[in-house]
Amino acid sequence: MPLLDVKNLSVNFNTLEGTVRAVQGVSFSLKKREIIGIVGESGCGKSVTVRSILRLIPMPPGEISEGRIMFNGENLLALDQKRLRGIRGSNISMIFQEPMTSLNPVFTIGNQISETFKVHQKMNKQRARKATINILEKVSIPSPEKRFEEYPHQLSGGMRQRVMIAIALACQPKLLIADEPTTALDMTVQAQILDLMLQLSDQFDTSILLITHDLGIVAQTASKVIVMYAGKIIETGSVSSIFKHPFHPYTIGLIKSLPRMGLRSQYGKKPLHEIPGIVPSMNENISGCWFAPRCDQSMDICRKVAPLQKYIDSDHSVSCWLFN
Amino acid sequence: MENLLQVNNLKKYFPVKRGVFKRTFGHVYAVDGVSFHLAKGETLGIVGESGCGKSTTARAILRLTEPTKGEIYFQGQNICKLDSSRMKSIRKKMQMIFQDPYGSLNPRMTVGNIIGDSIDIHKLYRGNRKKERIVYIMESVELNPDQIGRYPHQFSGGQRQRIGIARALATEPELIIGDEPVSALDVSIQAQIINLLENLQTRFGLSYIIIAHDMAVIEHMCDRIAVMYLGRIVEMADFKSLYGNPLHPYTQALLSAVPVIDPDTEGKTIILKGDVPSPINPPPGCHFHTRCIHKKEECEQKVPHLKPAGGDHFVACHFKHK
Repeated sequence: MPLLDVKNLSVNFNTLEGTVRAVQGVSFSLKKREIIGIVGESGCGKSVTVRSILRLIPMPPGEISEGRIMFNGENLLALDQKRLRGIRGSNISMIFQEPMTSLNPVFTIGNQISETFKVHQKMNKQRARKATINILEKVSIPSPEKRFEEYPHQLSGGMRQRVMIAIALACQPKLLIADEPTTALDMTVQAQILDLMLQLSDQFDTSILLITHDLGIVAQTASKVIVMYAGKIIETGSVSSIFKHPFHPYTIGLIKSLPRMGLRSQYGKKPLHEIPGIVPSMNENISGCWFAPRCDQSMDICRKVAPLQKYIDSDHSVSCWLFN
Repeated sequence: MENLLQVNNLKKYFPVKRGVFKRTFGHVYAVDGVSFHLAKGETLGIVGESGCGKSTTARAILRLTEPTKGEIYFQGQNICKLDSSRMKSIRKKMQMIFQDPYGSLNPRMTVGNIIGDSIDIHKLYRGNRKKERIVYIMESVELNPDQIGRYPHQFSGGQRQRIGIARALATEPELIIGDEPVSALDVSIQAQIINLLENLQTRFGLSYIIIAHDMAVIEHMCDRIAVMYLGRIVEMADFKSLYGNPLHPYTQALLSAVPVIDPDTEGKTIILKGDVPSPINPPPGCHFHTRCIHKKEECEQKVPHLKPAGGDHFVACHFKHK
């Protein structure tokens, strides 16, 4: 049984300009100890998808119109708020992009981490303090006893993200959702944080759902990739098959449009591959494939009927008429 | 080749004031003795982590912030000594593109006004000639001139960056400084803007200084690259030798930290310890010694200077000079 099984998830936002169909019929599953990367450009629905798992989207205007999210055999969408709160932070936890705004500026670091232990593991103050200092050591924060008393503004960006990881992994969750965990960080700090995340998840047997726009990060950390475009999954597969043999014209374009280190020294300077146009606005009503207007291989049928997901082999699927 | 720009020992310190009397008790050493040159038609890349002084360097070159010390020669003229009206005529030849294409455009001005404003300020064209010029520039950056009356919020992120580029081009500059010009953009849009910048460079004979933190973008765009750490250049070389043979331990770590999209490449990432130290009280000697794996006693005391290490390759490290 997969740890997490998302079936046909659709999320709408009802705005004054009409309904924005942010996520349209997304299905995927995640096994124990697996690391899946979700990639896509801004506005493709990757954040909304994972936030719906913990129902962290504002409702209204948001609305989960369809779908089922099974976690450990339980439908998360059917749970009441109280049960859901028990799961948030203990079985499933989340790391966000902005380490400054996701920590509360008026509470100490120690206070915010030990809260997790007090709420979910019913520890008393002394035991929670001990456990907190222990986890601060695990995320390699120097002099944890001193840091325990400090406030978020006294820490650097990388340190704050370590604190976020400490909070997220405090209860050794089964699933960690990391939404662009290193986007706001510097290169060398990004390498530290990714390394730390992988190490700890290995230690605690945690599965990771990693959202990023950086294809390089996915290639280096995940085992499976989900490529999203305009609210839909357009291609999924193992990391090696997606990066070596991408099928969907969008995935191919995305990989080709990235400048790669070493290419210029080897082959000389060539213009980068471009995907023409821009991502469609999500309140448009496009029949057929949403990528068709930007696709250089689009056919008549692409503009009329939406393509279905088709398995090329057991672990690689693509939604494109070229392969149907 | 003639140098368009020559920067000698540029320094910018920001005083840190505290207390009732606003006494200066220290300085932020944002840029601490930076020297480099830029030939005509060349692209120089400046890389480094946040707080290393790359943006301050760029702003000091345009004198958007007054340099504390140092000389900046633009077309052979020391611009640090110019008064504001003479500076204005020079500034027309050096323009800047910013990172946040939304925050750097006035939301109440139409595209035509945004581009036309710099033409007005420098009194380049008037009336119909000005209108023609605006249309011409919009076409060069691949914006539809019919949208001349639209406001920034009616454009997508990539198009807004095109407006930012159009505004910089309006004064017919020689030098364009791009401060993270593509880092806020999505991958597919980033490629469009990079290609556009390269096309404009050949078409108008521009010279670029590109500031970025993405090592792959820098390699693609730049002929020569300066790596900065805490206000100093630690290594400078042409792109081939910098990427093929990085000498400074910091450059090596920076390059190894780039996630490669080939899943078979086994990451030999050098994980540095700790964070970048505060530029208010930077570590003595080599600024990098607190995180360096090859640190020796000498590094804590003596400041390494940028010295040639073969050809056009310069490095500031005590152990890399032959």
